[in-house]
Amino acid sequence: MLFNSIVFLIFFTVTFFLFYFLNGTGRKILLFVASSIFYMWFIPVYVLILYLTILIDYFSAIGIENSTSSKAKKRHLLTGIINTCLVLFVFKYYNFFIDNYNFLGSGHLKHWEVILPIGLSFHVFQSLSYVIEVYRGNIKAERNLLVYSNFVMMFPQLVAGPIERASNLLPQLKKCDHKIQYSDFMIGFSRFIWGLFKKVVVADTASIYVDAVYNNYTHHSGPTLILATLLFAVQIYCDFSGYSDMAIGVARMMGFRFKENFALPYFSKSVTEFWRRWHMSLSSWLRDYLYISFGGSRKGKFRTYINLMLTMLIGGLWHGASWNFVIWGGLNGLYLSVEKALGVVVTNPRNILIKLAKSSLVFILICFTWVFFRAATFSQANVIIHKMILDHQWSHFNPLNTNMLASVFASIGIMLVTEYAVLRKKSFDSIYSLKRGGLWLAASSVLFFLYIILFGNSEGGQFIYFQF
Amino acid sequence: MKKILIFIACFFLLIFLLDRSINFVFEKYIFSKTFSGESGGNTNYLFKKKKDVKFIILGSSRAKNMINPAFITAFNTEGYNAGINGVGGILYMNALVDLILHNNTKPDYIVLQTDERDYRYKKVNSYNAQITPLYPYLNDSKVLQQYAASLGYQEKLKLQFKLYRYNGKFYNIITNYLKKDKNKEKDGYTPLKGTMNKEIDIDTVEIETRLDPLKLAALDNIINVCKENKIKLFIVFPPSYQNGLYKEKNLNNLINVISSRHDVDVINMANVNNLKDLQENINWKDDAHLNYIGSDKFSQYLNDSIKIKLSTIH
Repeated sequence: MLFNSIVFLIFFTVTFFLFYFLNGTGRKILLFVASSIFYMWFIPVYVLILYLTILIDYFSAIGIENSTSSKAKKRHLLTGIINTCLVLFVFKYYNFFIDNYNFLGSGHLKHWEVILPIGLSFHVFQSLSYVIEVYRGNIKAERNLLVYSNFVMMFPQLVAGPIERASNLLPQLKKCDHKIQYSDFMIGFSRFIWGLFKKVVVADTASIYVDAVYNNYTHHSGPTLILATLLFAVQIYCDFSGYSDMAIGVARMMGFRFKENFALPYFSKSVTEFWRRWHMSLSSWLRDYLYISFGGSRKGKFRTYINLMLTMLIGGLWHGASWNFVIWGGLNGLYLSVEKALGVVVTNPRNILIKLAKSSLVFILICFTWVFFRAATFSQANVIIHKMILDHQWSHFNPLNTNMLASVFASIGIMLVTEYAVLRKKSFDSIYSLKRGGLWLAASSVLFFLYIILFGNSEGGQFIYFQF
Repeated sequence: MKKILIFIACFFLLIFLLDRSINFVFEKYIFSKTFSGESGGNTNYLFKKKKDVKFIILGSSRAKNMINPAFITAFNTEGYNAGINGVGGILYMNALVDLILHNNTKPDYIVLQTDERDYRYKKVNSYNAQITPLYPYLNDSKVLQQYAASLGYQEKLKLQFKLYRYNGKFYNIITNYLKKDKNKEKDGYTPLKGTMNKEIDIDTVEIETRLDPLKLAALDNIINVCKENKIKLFIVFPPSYQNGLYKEKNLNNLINVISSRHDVDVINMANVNNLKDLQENINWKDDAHLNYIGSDKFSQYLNDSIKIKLSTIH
């Protein structure tokens, strides 16, 4: 079920009103049922995989807490991690492993024709963080299976995050008897419409150009491929941050508060800063559970670089079972290591020209990595980069449809102005708290809704991050 | 809860009012006065400024860019090329014919350009792209309404917003509205400049495909409606560069199906080997479109074929 579908609108309306009138356990059961329906909308039987990972980590966490010796605690932790990762490996990485095994000439193993369960990587990471936190003694194991299930599978964040931490979400789900405030509903509603605008108007219309060029990359010149890559950078940001906005908005309407996932990443002045502002729930996960576990920066400079590279390579592989994602992660790891070696620190220079130059450089570096993210294969990415660097035939620049492109740029302009001029300075909460702030939010939601009707891509597809 | 319900009610009431009022103003003062462009302007031009035209050319960009009405003298009357870039599928044509008749434009002749590939059945087939360009005229065509309804309840719900009819076209319409200079007298034909200068791979493999019943039904309907309204219909299959689009078996199968169901004039010019003047690169813009040089030659060929067909009738 997609957030940008009428089915979801009906589903959420019913869920919201039932949630409003129920209390405590009733709400918990409702959330569980609604989340199961939400997930089963894709492939019903796959909900069993979700239940399996929930059960594995639920019992592992209790096992950890009940154990008295550190050896037993570790055993339960490993049981949880290995079994959860096994599910991920079987469904996501098995065919990748087979491909590489066969490529190395070691065998002729057959592919397993299976569709990847939607959002598997997200809820696996969420479950793992919970078990590790219990092991580290930062949180108590949740004894109520219903509450824990809701933590993993609460529908707004189930398929594409934000990857919530137990310390933030579990206490909210445990009580579940909060009064739904009008302010929460208003703020959540506006946030949802804003996310919908980013997804349907900006990302889905930009994707028309990106897909047309990338799917016929051999026919296009360097400048066309450069524009398509720049637009892909916008597309993936608006697609994913739009989803996060909608997820945060839906949860907020029901009175839950999720962590922020994006903070204007393309305005970062270094790649280090970019990763603190892009997919924040994943990057903090990688930092807390991989980078720090590897030793972080505590074991000398060289080990720090290795740790950064390793973390980002795994982060790349988390996105998808393909060498392109590994290279994408590796490039980001390389950028971070180089910045670390050069002693680049996250600062906010006062000079606007320096700011602009730094942000532009970071944007270009990140766009370069997006080529690997978007291209279907390594050889495709290779040809595209080759053309981008060497084929400068501006006379062969192909805008495909100038009116469509102009419309995309107009929407990007509206998005940029709104995010940079308004949302950078004031959050939805602080806008609401202004005098007549509620009215401002309502009025802007009306305008954005009308804009969506007129300019949204009505045939827009799934969210990019659903495949992960 | 009361406050939330009031907010939701006010939100949708405001959307409803704005939707209706913006639509009213836009339709009356902008859309209806736009007479160029593929987002409705050219169709407006046909309905409002070419109402009395006696022959109309329908089809895709392969009609719009390749058939020059000035060369079609066989009808002894002025014509209009209503081909459309990027769309031009048979469902679109079916709805357009319905709209033409609804607007009391009663031509004596219709030249319908079509291609065999348009009738192939695909597992995943999105008809939206063929129907949405005509959404601004939704109220005027039963055929269009049926197609829209067949897209499912989500589409039905979206169409409750009047502005949704202009979805994806709004910017284009305003741009075309502002280009007043393009509103001069025209016959719809848009010749292409430039010559094909690259090598292309020609796919000569014949693919066995079954015909899409919905698309065949659309063609059936066009033929029947033309008969009922005493409009002489010519179905034209144009050529392609080095026969890149020509799949002989498939095309013959389609023509046999059409002939078995209807007594209709089919002009099969799909095999470029039968059109000697069109085989050189100099005639082509790309693998599917003739340039202005080739189009004039093709239009002349077409005119000759129509003349022969007409002479056998008379």
